[in-house]
Amino acid sequence: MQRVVSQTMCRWWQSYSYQYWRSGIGFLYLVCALLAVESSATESLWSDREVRILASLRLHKDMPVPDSPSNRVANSDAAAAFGGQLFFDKRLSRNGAIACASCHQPERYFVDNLTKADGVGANMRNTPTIVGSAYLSWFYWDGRRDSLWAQALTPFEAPAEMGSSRLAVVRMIAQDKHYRSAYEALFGPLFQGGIGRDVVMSEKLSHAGPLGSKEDRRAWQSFPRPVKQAINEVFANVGKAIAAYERTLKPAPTRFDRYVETLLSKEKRIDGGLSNDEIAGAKIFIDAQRSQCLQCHNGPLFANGGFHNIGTGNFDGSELDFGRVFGVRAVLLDEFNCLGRYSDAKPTQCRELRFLNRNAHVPLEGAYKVPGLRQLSQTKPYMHDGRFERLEQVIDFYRAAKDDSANGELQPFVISDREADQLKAFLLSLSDQ
Amino acid sequence: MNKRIILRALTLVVFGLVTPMNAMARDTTSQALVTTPRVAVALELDADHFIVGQFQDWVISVHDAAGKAVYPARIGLAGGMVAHGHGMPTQPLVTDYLGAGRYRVEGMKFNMAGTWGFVINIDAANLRERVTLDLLLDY
Repeated sequence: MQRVVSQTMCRWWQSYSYQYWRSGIGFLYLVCALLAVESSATESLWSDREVRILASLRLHKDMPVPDSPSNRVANSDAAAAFGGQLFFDKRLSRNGAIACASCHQPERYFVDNLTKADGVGANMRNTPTIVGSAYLSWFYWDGRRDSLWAQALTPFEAPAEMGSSRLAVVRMIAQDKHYRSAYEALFGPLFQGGIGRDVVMSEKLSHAGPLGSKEDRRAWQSFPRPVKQAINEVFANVGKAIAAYERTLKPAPTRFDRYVETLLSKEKRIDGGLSNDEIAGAKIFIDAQRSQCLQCHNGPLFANGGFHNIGTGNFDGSELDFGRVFGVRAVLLDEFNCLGRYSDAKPTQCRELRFLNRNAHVPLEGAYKVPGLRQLSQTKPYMHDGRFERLEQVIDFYRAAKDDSANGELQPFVISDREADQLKAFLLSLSDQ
Repeated sequence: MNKRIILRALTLVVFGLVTPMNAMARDTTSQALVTTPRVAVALELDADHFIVGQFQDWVISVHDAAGKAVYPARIGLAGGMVAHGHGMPTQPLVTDYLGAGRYRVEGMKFNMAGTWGFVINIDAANLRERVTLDLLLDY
């Protein structure tokens, strides 16, 4: 509005001052003429810089999925089909009641809408979506796994998730005729050289693994190393097949993306697609002078894949949670990481691990992986511990940030109630199909 | 476009931040060489790969006051965003010596726009120096 007024005044002054060109004040005509050139260049709703930012956020329909060098079947359709069946199979849990899909429910954008995940037992953290996870480098809220396949293995043996063991998972593959056939078509014969066959097929032990109950661990320790490695090999391949399936779960472009495509294709053309409130909210979101949203929520997933401390760590009480600071240590110890013997990558391809910042300094305490902002309308509640049911609460959390260390990296974020509504409106424009 | 840039000023402004899936690359500007009375440190980077969210390689060249290549040397690099109170998401490492005082640095990665500060430590025979560099990464 202000710009329109100034342009109108200028036009009036140009017509008026032109008569006095030969007098001293004629130079103002020139000033206004120059201003007119400037304003015609920026007359559109978005500046060039803003357009570049919007372009960096849009989702391409054919956005390529990054390679996964540690998983040789990552892009195999057969592996994805096999992995999809495993993903929905409740028999792979200790009580036969929980599958990957129990928490990552397809009809809910692959979340469960619970405050904290509910598996075989109660979990400490909120279930994140796995849509678009192929584009990420770190998994779990604290990044304690460095590939989708290594992540997919962890719930099988986590006592509160599926509570099973790698022995039981491998046995299922060996005994289910269909699974065994699908597995062997992808990875070759089970039990090469007969190693591990007796242990897996005998059913003398129900469970054995290095991460489960005391009994499970004791059983695992009784196996000779070649048997452990044979079981681990099959177990790792199960994870790789599930990862191949999960990599097919790609986010779909939304109304926001279509708006930006239009903006880019027709040279700043403004023809609707986003409401005035949504546009105002987008401007707040991308304005680094006003908000810090874009610092962490950047790129087409609206997530930079990194770990940041916004003051949500739980440092006392019964549910201690220090976030990334332990995730850094855990991923280095994980035998299924990119540098481990079950990885298909060359060491030089494991760049995330090779160049991992191991300095577990204070900012990593209470730092969590930045979640994406697409389809927020389906993925409530929010934050690593699901503490907020509504988007308004999330925005208010940021608005309440003080300039002190309790807020981690956050800085004060001052917007009016009206602008908070506009910001919410913009965020929800990322939820439409 | 495979333009290489040598930084010739303490502060470098790089335009053209793009995300991995974004094709909107722009040209980059460059002007800088960080000098102290004892050492000159130049930073080369591949403009087309200076983007948020992707690994990139840098080359750091180090020469003494007489213009002689500093080699062998132990080069350490650390960085972060002072304004945001966090370090780099990665720990870049010198992985190769390319000759003529030039060292390859791998593992550079940025996860957001803004001003990134770097400290480059040079530890060589008869030379121990620390230089700082600010770099503004913008859209």
